Amino acid sequence: MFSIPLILSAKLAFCTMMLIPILAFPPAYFLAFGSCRGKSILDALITLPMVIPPTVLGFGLLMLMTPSGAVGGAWQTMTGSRLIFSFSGILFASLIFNLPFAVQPLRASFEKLDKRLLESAAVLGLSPWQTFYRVILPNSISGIAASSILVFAHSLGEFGVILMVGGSIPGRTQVASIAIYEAVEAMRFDDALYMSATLVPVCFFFLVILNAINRRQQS
Amino acid sequence: MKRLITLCLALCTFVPIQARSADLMIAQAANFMPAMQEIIPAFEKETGLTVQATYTSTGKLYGQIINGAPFDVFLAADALRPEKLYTQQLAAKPFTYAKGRVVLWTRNKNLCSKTWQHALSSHSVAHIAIANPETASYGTVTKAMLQKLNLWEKTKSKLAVGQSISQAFQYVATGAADAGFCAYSYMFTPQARQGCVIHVPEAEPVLQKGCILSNAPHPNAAEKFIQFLASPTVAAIKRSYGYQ
Amino acid sequence: MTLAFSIKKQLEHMKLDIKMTCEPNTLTAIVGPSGSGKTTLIRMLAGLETPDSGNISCNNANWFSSSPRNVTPPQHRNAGLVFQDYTLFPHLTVEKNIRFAAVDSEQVPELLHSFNIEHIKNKKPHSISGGERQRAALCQTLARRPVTLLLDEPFSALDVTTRHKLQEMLLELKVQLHVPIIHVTHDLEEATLLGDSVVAIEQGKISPTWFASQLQAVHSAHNSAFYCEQFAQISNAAVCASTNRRKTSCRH
Repeated sequence: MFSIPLILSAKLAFCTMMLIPILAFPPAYFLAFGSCRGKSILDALITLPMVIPPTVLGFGLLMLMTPSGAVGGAWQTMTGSRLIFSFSGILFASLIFNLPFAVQPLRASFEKLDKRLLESAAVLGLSPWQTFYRVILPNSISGIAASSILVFAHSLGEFGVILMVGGSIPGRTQVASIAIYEAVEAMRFDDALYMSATLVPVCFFFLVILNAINRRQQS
Repeated sequence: MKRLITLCLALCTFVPIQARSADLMIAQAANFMPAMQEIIPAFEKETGLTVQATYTSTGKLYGQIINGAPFDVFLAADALRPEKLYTQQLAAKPFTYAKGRVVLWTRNKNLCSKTWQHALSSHSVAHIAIANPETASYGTVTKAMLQKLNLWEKTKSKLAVGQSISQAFQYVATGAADAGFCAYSYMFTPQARQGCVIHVPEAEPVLQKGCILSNAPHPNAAEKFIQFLASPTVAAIKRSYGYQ
Repeated sequence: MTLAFSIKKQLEHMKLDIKMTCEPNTLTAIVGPSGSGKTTLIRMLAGLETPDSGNISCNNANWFSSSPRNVTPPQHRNAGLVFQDYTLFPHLTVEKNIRFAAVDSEQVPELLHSFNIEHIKNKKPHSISGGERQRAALCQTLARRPVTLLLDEPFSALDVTTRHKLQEMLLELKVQLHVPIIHVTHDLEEATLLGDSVVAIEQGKISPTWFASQLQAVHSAHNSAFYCEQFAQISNAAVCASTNRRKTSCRH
């Protein structure tokens, strides 16, 4: 019974981690290698979910994801089902608020790459796209790993945004952080303790790995 | 840098002074906020006392109180928490200060003429907002009613749970949910008038109880306020916000 | 295949203004002090930087022209380029690095053999010596069958013995390759050893006077008689061609 929210959290974190590269690679690439114009604006836009309160972000996402909202409407036209209060919905929200956490480490590792590598690739005839997946990606493995782990751990713990858009539906949107909050509110402290006792070591474990990667990257 | 530190220190000392300056501290469940925001000025005008109210969920206020928060009066959205404080001897005997009603609220005009049962089973209703039955009394009452009428299992899959009655309202207001079990008191806001109210007479009234806390810093002012709550002035305000 | 260019570019401290024609099977050595613009020149030829104005063409292909404006990106120039210390990809083994660039992958074993890097083909660039690295880098560049070979101080980071070995290898290669080779170096000795023609640039311009004075300074100890004879001629000559170490002729 208590394991359902934990499994759901893990599922959300895993799906976020797997999908976020699609969203994070293009801006990280542009921020690292792009020309100056528009760079600071894009940077600010991507970092925004990190600094605004989760409730504000959550409310904004709620408006976007309702059937009459831009994203929710488009989703309904494409899939025929509602985005709000669904797993896809919290996954979408999770992707948005994790974007800065994914982009920053990626960007840092792209920037650390020797520019001459890219020049070598260009002279050897590789198109920018080929350069990206044959040269940049293989040489940014630790940055990608750091970004993935950060995203995974952060999605496991995210609360505010999902509280706003989730609707706490068991098995679909009631992730561990929400279930713990509800258990505490309802004074079911044992349940809260059980779930926290599982969640905390898992997050700790991932952060230890993250630190190890970061240290290796620096040396 | 020095100036910044001075500024911070000044702010730190300034804030508690501000908070302490009130003559009466009220812990008010958020659902009653609109009415309370009219009651407090009336009380202040009549007595000359200054009142400071904290509005948040009953559960949070309860948590703050058992941890020693210096409130005088606790006005809950349910009966449970004041009774609990009373048995723990943290408060005087509770009293009912308002009775709320559960209504079904929707912005879908096609549902306006239907009964709430029909509205629930309508195909155009994918999500129904409800306050958390475990922690919010409007949710508790709604769940009890649905269970009594054998509708709970049928509607469970459509329910989107808001952590408070105001989040349930917000889900409907933003269009995230198609309908929602809301507090009748919310139906007097301009926003609510954009939708329609379907009465749910089967639901028990939500008794909102209050109590004076044993450790109240201002017991006299608290007593005065309780008496004021029973006055005709307050009764009129409560009625205008949908409470009995 | 002929590489011809006339380039103007405003740099931070000077203006680069160079016009040259390089014939196939010829190694043009470009010497000059650091900051003379020689690296910028080679980067513009490879397409990594764009001149302000002028023309670059290789054979019939136009790589750059300012009017009408045409900039061929480095990907489509196929100009082989070897940097001082960085051409190989660190995530690939030597063999995979060469396979990465090779036009014909069946030729890779043969290439590994002829560049004497078979024994290190499974090693990554960071675990081999500087000399091996530059041999592998040259091999990688040539595996693509470039239309010209641009060398930017390729041997500068190596110790004397290794450098001499690689210089000899390059002299042998020069005969086999039918492409123009441009070799940028700050080492005048290397330039005169390898170059069929030697060009000095200083402050972004071809500079016969710098060439002469440096030549005098470097070589006054030995061969002074031979070089002194040359000064008179090259003092107003743009390009000095030395077909080998002994026989020298100049063209204007």
